[in-house]
Amino acid sequence: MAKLSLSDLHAIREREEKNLRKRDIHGRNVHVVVAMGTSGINAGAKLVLNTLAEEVEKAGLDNVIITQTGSAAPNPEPVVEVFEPKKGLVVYGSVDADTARRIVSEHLADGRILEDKRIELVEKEQ
Amino acid sequence: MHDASDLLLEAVANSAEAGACSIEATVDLSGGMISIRVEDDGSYTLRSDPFQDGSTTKGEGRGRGLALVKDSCSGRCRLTRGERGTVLEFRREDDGSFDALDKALLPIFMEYEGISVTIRKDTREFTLDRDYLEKRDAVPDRAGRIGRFRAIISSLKGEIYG
Repeated sequence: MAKLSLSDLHAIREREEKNLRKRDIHGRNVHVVVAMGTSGINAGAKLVLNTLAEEVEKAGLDNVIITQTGSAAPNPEPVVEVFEPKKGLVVYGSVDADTARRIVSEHLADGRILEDKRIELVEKEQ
Repeated sequence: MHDASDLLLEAVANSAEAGACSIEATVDLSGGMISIRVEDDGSYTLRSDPFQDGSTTKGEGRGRGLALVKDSCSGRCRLTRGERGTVLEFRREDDGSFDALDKALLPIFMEYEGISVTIRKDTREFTLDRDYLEKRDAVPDRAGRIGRFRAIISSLKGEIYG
């Protein structure tokens, strides 16, 4: 077997670290996505993202991963999507800091969907 | 209306959408002003007025980000070619949006790989990059890591804000 060079070892380590990160993401069974396009930020999505992060941290919800996506227009922003295996995809619109706290305490922690804030996602017309 | 930290977020998103693998942002908080510089290695086609609303190389319905930067900075902005790629610079009054530094930086370090941010205040500064956070398991996208991220920011902030 040929000897591996230092750069080969670095390449292998990088590849394995990437694979490890992918497995780690897949191991989380609840995925929260915040729409952080220009219109979302203008509507307060950054505050919503920070509130979700703070509440998930406080509640110690280790199975939740939070990520971002682009604009959700023409839907009422800020928009938050929650995906979990049992309930599937649930989308919330016009989310503010209070709603973000409820998403964590009611939906993520207790499994109760916030029907009053739920929306049907409308695709942007091409 | 976007605050200054929102504009930094827009600028970083703009770089990422341009395919940048490396994004270096500098935020200078001095003399009641905020100066932001974002350099990336993305591929742009510079237009005659890239700050014009709707001016974009990214397709129909895009191109609000740079127009927002211009509006929010009363025109104190420019987009140029740098050593590594494209440089966006803008300057506006300090609106206090970087006082809660963890909240300003969390969306950036949560999402973007290859990002580094330097915060400079008067003669002090620190630089934080995504690799540093990854090595400390502090990329703020899940419980545990969010707390570690905040602790790191708090410690670094103490060094330059006093």
